[in-house]
Amino acid sequence: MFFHFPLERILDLRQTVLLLNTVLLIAALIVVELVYSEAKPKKRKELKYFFPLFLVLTGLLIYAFYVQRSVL
Amino acid sequence: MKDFLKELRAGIDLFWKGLTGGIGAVVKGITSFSQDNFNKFENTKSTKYFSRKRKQLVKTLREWGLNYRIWLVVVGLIVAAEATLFWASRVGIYINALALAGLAALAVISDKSRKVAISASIIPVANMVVASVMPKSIIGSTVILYSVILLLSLIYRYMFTLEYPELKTALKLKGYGYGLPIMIVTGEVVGAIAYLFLRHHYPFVGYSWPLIALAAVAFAFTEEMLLRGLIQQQGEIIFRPAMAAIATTILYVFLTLNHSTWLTFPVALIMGGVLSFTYYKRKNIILTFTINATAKLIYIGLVVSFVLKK
Repeated sequence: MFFHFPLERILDLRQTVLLLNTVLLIAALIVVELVYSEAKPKKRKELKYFFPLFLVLTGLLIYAFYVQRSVL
Repeated sequence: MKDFLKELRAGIDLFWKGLTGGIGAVVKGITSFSQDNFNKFENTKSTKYFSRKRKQLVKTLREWGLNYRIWLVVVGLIVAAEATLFWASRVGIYINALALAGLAALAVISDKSRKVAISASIIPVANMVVASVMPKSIIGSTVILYSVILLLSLIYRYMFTLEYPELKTALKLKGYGYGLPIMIVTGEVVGAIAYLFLRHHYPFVGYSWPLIALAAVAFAFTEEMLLRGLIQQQGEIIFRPAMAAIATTILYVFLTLNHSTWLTFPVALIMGGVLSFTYYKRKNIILTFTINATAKLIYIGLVVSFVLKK
């Protein structure tokens, strides 16, 4: 009936997810650099489709910094 | 005797001439018939037509093969992420990240499947956000999940439809006049079925019901934006429309999996099936949104009236 997030509330997992997010963001940036840095301008227009996803992942990276600061 | 031999020789000559002539005539006849009737087909319109049809069939089969592979990858990754999150959380977050990476890679590699892959990748991204924030209550996780999905769905729907010509799917006033009441009745039926199955598994016990009812309308809008407005719409361009409808139904079922009961499965199957079928037939989000919102409101209303007030 409603979308359900099926994860139990385990705080250890939050650290893991934030770490995974950082790894994913770095990997995605490397792939984008490799694929699109020397591509034709028409092909580069496809990059706009990835910006919102990168924005969310960057937001999570900032949140990870915030969480680490509060832990320290 | 001489006369007999003369007659015999004349007879043999005649027979031979007849035989050779007959065979020659038959061969000539076959050759001329084949030349007249078969050879001339080689470069005629009909042979070109059949040749073109054969090539089209081969091309279509190859495309189907590719399209089904894309379909399997997109649906498989999301289903794997949701199922493992459900059964084994610690493994699930890795599979969820893997699904996001896989869908992003598919979007980079394949021009054809880019929009579907990006649309589907909203689900693992939303899961990552909820898992990172890790709210204390079920309403908190639900609201964050829906908020991220709604935000990304609206952005992508805007981006994807910028280049499209205006679709002729909007109903006229008469169409809405007939369509909306039918959709409301359908939503009421689905809501009543949901109440029959899930009346003892209402997830938002203890919260103000008018607030939940208001949120349910927003939740319905979010679900339609993502599943029908993005995934099914983009899927219909690549896959066959029926396959896109099946994909969104499967995704809906796995997105609503709940630890507290298995009864969400038949309800999600019925609701997802009805919504996907309606979009498959009408290509109109307002109609599917009406069904979804009505079903949710009826379910909440019935639960509040008959279960929570006891």
